[in-house]
Amino acid sequence: MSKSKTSYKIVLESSGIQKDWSALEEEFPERMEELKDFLKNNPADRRKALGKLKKLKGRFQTILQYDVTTNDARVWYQIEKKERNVIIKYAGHHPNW
Amino acid sequence: MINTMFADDIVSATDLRNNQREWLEKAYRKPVTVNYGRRQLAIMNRDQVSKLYIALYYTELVLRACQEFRENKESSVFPWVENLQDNEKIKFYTELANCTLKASVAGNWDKLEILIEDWKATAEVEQDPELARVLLAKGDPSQYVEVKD
Repeated sequence: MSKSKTSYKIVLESSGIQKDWSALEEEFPERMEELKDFLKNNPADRRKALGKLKKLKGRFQTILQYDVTTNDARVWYQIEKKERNVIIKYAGHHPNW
Repeated sequence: MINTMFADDIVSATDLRNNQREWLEKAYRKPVTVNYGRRQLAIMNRDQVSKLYIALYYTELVLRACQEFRENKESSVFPWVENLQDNEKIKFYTELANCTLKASVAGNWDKLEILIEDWKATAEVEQDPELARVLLAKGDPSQYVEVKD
């Protein structure tokens, strides 16, 4: 998909996330491509990620969760609308599962 | 109160057989009760029946959950709710009740499903203090690393 001027930039919150992000890309290449496309274009639109997107509540209400797989591969992120950034805060297999 | 729903059109089995098309057309629009000996049957639109069953399912679910919460019992309906903080539990049940009412009026339960899934995901994060800490920490833009295509 071509990158429009309104699309979001995906950034890892710190270099420490790189390893887990890359591991997910290696393990689930197609699903991660789908995720990246989603994050760039519609990072908060449930209709574009049916059943995969969760909007956390309570003290996590600015955090969104994308289920890469139905098992335990997850990506949690925040959206900086003004800056057009999607900030990846955590990626990988849920540590407790 | 709810019995009046079936009170308008009552037909005998014989009359139904003799005027089948007319009664089935009526039943498509609203329920028709068929007297069959001493028993009574109802014919009604299948979509309507489906909606009633779905409404009943969710309403029972939510009422049971709210009752457990009111009685200060651990939730058997939503066991994960125990991972939420106390103020979040109150917020969850409040939103659950409000959403159920809206869904019942609209006849659309999708938003209730979404609400439950969102809270469940929140509870799963609450279960893991380290993950919760990472997600709540404020990032430093100078440390951001762009993901390249």
